[in-house]
Amino acid sequence: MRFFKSKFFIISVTVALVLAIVTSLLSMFGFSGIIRSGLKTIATPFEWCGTTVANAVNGFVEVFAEYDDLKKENEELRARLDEIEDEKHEISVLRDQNDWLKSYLDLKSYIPELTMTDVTVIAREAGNYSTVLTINKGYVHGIRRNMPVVTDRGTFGYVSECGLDWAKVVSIIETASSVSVYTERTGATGVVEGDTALRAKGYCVMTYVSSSADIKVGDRIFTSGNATIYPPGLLIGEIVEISADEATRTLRAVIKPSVDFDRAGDINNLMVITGYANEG
Amino acid sequence: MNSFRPETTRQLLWRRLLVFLPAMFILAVAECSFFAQLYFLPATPDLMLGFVVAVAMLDSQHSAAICGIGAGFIIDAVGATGISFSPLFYMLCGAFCAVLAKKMLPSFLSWLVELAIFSVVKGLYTLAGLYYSWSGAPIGTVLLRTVLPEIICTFVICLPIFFIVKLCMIPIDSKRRLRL
Repeated sequence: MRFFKSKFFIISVTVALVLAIVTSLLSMFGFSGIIRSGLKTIATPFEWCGTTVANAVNGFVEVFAEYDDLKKENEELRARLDEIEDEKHEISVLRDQNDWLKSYLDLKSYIPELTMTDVTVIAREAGNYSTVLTINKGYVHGIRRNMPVVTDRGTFGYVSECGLDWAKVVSIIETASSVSVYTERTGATGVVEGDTALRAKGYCVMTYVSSSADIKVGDRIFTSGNATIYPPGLLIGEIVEISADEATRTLRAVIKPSVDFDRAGDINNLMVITGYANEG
Repeated sequence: MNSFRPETTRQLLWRRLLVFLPAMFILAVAECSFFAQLYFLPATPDLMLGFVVAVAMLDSQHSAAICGIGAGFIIDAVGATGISFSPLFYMLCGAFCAVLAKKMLPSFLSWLVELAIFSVVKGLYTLAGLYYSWSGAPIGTVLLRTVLPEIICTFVICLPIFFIVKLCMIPIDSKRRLRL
């Protein structure tokens, strides 16, 4: 304790106090002593170095400090991205389905009391012209034999065979098919049948047309509803060629169906008409 | 002919100043530029206090008192504005610490105890400074947010300074303590 009473200690306290007061006063009035100013000047480049190193350390530490957060955020974003991709895919499927269903609204607008069931093609008949198709619905889904089948473009054919959960559909260009029709312009009637020679081109033929009937190339053909399978008013196609059948004294017209049977392989979805107003 | 002549007090003092002043300057710069900018530290550690306490532990009362004045002046020059009693504070810290060190062995454990005590003292000095420029913040908040982090940071980060000062003591004949 003798140290605190020593001359050295008293001088030290006095010097420290004077230094503190003088530098404080100088600083308060905006002045800085020569030594202080010099020290600060010398310190500046070192301070710059210190700051640079501190910034580097901060950046380095920040990477590790934020690593877990960034990882978690990345995982969340990935999950969200997957979700969005799924949603996008779902939307795309729904949009296609919507467009497809919308196309049938036209059909329903002029035959209002149609009831339809959408079906998917699950198999095709072996051979080059696969116009006999197997669909994914059958008896348990309300599908019955001889029900008409349509696409958004027009008449496709009819159900020729029906299983529990499958059915076979024969197109109108098959020789086994026969549809009672009329022309839109003049109402001339006839029967559309499959023709072995024309089937290759995806065409069919309209027969039993009276020789006096007014038909011409471009006339649109619709189902008349006279037979038991098809309701009236379903579009079949249009006449592309007319000739006279000398033997029967009737006219014979080549029909280009509205459904492109030449590309029947592209048809994957169909509608089976399960009921209509004038069903007999 | 014997060429050995014992060093005078003045020569010893110059030796110490030559070694301690650059060290204090570097520590002051490190405190104000490096440690003050590390965002992950809750407070800036008082390296000058660590230095003065280490000198007090390893050298004499006189050295500690002179180093205290120098440390206060340098830290004020490098990183303080306005009213500051740093030279007086550090000088008193050095002197008291040296007196306390006389009653302990100059070991690392003693250094830990003294550093802890004077870190708390520095915390109180900061609290006094905050009281002077009181902004109306609750005392609990001030203690938790400013004073306590400063005490902890000073204690933890100043730990290696003991070895730095020991290193500085190599060019000085550490057995011949400065007595004025």
